[in-house]
Amino acid sequence: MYKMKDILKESLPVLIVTSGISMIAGLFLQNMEKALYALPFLLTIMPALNDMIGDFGCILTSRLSTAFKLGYFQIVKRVLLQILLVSLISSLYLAGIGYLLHPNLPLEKAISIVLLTSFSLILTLSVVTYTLTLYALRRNVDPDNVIIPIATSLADVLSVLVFSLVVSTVL
Amino acid sequence: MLVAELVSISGGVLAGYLLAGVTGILEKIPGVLILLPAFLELRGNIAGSLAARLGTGLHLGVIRGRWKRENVRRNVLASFFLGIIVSAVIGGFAWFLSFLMGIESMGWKLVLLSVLAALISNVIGISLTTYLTLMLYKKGYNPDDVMGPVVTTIGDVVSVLSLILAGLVVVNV
Repeated sequence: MYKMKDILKESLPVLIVTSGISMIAGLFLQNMEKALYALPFLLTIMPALNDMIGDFGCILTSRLSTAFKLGYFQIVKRVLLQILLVSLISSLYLAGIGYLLHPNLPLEKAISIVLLTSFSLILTLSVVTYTLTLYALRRNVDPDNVIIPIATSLADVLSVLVFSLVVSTVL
Repeated sequence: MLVAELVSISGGVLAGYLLAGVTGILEKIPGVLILLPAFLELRGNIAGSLAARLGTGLHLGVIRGRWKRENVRRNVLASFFLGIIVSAVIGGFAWFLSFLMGIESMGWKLVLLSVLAALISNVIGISLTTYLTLMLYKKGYNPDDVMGPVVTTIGDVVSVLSLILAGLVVVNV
């Protein structure tokens, strides 16, 4: 059990592909280098914001897929509302600690950066994961295995892109 | 869901706060931002898979008695090599991309930076993951339930620290 060669052979391709996708996020990040170094608030919240959006992509897909498999289509609205509520509280919390650590950025700007980024991404991710999850089920593919990695990679790249757009708009 | 998310955010902010504290060093490592997201994600993925494999192995009973050493050693070494190989690829990607897009970067030193940071974070991250997984199982917890969020949070902090340390070395090469 557990041969090193098997572990390496199975993991390497996946890790290289996901790393390649994350490099796109890296390019967007590099692109906003000046703003990031000038405003430490942005660098402080960036990893947490990125993780949070990825988490929501994963939660959305797994809950939608469970709901669809059980045939509970009417539950979709409640799932979305719950995620929006959790993301609202999480965003306020994130903006709050960011502001406590770096009070030089006004609180309303801190809040609007985090809220605008997370809300627009959750709405986008909801539409995408809803469509992809239904499509996967119709093709007899388990969304839990296939759509979750797609959703989290997408969330990774989009969150940095949207973050940079929101930052340049708000500031 | 809310509690888990708030805890995970707190860990992420710690990693970000460390980053923001060393912008002076980061500015001296041009190109480091290109590899940052991939590097952070890689640590979480490798440690997550390691914890999951060890968890499965423990539950199956193949990590105990006379197999314990051998199976733990193989898993740990595999994760270690994966970390080094994929980090070298990430460094290479970053070098290539910055060259392609005309972004100012430290060139081949990005590969050196990535591999060096991988060495440091592997030693800390993989030993911590292995120790925590075995310890949790021994205490009667299911590592599969606990290690996922723990690993990504520890991974973020450890990899940011390793990148900073490696950056300090590489800048002076």
